[in-house]
This record gives sequence, structure tokens and C-alpha cells, in this order.
Amino acid sequence: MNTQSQTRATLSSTAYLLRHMLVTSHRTIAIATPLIERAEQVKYLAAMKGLSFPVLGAAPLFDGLKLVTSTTPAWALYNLSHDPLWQTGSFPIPAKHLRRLRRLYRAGAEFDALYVAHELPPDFRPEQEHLELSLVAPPPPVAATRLSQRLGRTTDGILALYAATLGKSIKVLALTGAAGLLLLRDPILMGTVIPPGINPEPGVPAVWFLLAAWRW
Amino acid sequence: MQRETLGQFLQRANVYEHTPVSIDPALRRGAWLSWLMTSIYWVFYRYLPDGSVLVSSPFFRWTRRWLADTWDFVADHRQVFLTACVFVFSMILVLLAMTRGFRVADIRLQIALFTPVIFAAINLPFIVTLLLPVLVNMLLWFCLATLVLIAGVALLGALFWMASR
Repeated sequence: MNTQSQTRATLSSTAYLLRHMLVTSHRTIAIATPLIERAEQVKYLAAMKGLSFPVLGAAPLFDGLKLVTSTTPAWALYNLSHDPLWQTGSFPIPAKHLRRLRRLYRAGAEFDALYVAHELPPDFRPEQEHLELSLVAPPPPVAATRLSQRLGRTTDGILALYAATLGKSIKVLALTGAAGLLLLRDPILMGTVIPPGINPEPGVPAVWFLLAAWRW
Repeated sequence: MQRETLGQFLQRANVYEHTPVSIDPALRRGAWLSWLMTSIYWVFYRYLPDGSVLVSSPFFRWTRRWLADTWDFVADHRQVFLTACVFVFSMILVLLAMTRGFRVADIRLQIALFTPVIFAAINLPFIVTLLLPVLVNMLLWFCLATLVLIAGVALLGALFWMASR
């Protein structure tokens, strides 16, 4: 399966999950024609660039933390502004997803508010009002860690070669093994569009799009 | 309601694969070592005498031609070697600042940090090649001195033996 097909498959299955989380948790809302037109415009602009961003459905905007505990694992949905990682000043995102979003933005698409969904650990207590950074922070990139170890081994090998040539012995540090990956929560990025001319406030009807979903 | 648009998100988003990670201790060690070796190479190339100076010295009579050829090559290209050393030295200084003392680096800086290590590794056998005629010359003088000493001792021994008969 090539990368594009993989991305589409991941987005489709994630969209199915998110539709249940968003739409079933709300009553049916009326969607005005301007909102439909706005959503269609975003889909059109994406299609012009050969991109596809699944529509999750229509649901009102909300602020604060929304917990979905009816699924396994549990999920947390919230406004990107409240994301602990976002509040550190930067938000890491895999390169291929960033490229897709930049292409979408350059095509002229804009979203009124971004939301993030995170898997929650089994021991997460629903009484907690906010998420800690440790729950959402990504692990160090595996590729960079492995490259550093490989370059370190090569450096030690070069030193060992020269030392052996000079008749001395040098201990080459053994590789301690690949860095263990923390099973961290997979973030999902969603974008919302609202009818033009309306201020984005909690309760305003919006069409939700799935922008990106990935595993660290 | 505080909100972020896609444009605002793209301004703050950064590539995950470029997140800095801790530099492997062996690579860190190699970086420090390559800094030291590059400094030594610069001094060596800067103050290496011309081959013609050595050719006239009676001490280097055994490897005169060999020495002159190799050291003249370096003397003719001295500026190239010195420039390369200065470039690598500056590169290490910049990387030292960017990696906070060779502690953390993203994937691109890790590759850049390996470059001085390769430079130091390549120069070492080259410098050994330059010093080899000197070492061989010294070794030959040592052998000659040993032979003379053995011959002298043998002659003395023979004289004493003849005198005692």
C-alpha cells in the first residue's frame, strides 16, 4: 500500500470514530445554506489540490474539554488553544501532514477554529479538568535517535580502528538497543468552518473536517 | 472563545521529524576529538617546513627525495589545507552553539556534526604519510648507529683477544 493510500485509509477509519464522538453526542442541528456552501468550498479547494479531508458532520462549536468515555480507549476533544503542547509555543506534526495542510492553506482554504482529539490512558480520571503536557507530548523521533546511535557507533569504530593500528585497545561502546517508544496518545487534528459573518462562539453550528491523524 | 485558525496553526507548527534529540555520547566524544585534532592539523600545516629546507640537511640523507616530494606537495597546497581546517573549525564552533554544547540536535545537525569527524579521520593517515619519511629516516640512523656500535664492540673485542695471545 503506498503512502497516499495509507493516509486515506487512516483518515477514513479515524473519521468513522470521530463522527460517532461528535455527532452522537449532540442533538441534530439545523445547517443553514451559507454553512453548507462554505463547507463545499473547502472541499472544492482541497479537491483542486488533489487532497481529501473527510467531513465528520455538523456539530456546534464548544470550548473547554469534552471527554468521550463511551469508547475504548477514552478520548478527549478540545479547542487547540487549550492543548498543553500548543501552549508551549510549538506543535510538532509529521512532515507529510504538514505538507498537506500547507497545500490546503495555499489553495485558499481557511478554518475558523481547530480542535484536537487525544486518546486517553486507561487510568485517566474523568474528574480531571485539564490535560497535562506529559499526556500529549510526543516521544523523540525514532529516526533521529537511531541515526545518532548509528553515527556514534561509526565514530567509535573509527577510533577503535586507529587505536588498534597504534597497538592500543579501546573499548567500543556496545549499542544499548533502540530507544523504547512510549505508547503515547495519537493526536487527531480537526478543522471547523462556520457560516460567514458569524463570530465563532460556543454553540455556533459548524461543519467539522478531519485534517490529520497520525501515530508518533 | 479563544481559537486558532489554520493559518495561525501553520505559523507555529513544526516538523516532528526535525525535533532535536540527545546526541549519542560516542558522537559527542567524536565531535570534541575532531575539534582538537583539527586544531592540531592547522598548527601542523601552518608550520610545516618546505621540503627544500630538509633536503639540504645531512640528517635526512636516507629519505631526502621521498621527504621533499611529499612535503613539497603540502607546502604547495598549504593554503588549501589551512582553509579546510579553518572551515571545519568554524563549522564545529557553530555546531557547538546550535547543539548547546553537543547535547541535542535534530537529524540534520547530527549529520552535519559527523562531517568534522570524517575530516579528522581522513587527515590522520595523511599526516602519518607525511611523517613516515621522517620516522623511516630516524629508524635507518638508529640501525646504522647500532651496527657501528656492534662493529666497534666486535673490533675492540678482537683487539683485546689479539693482545692477550
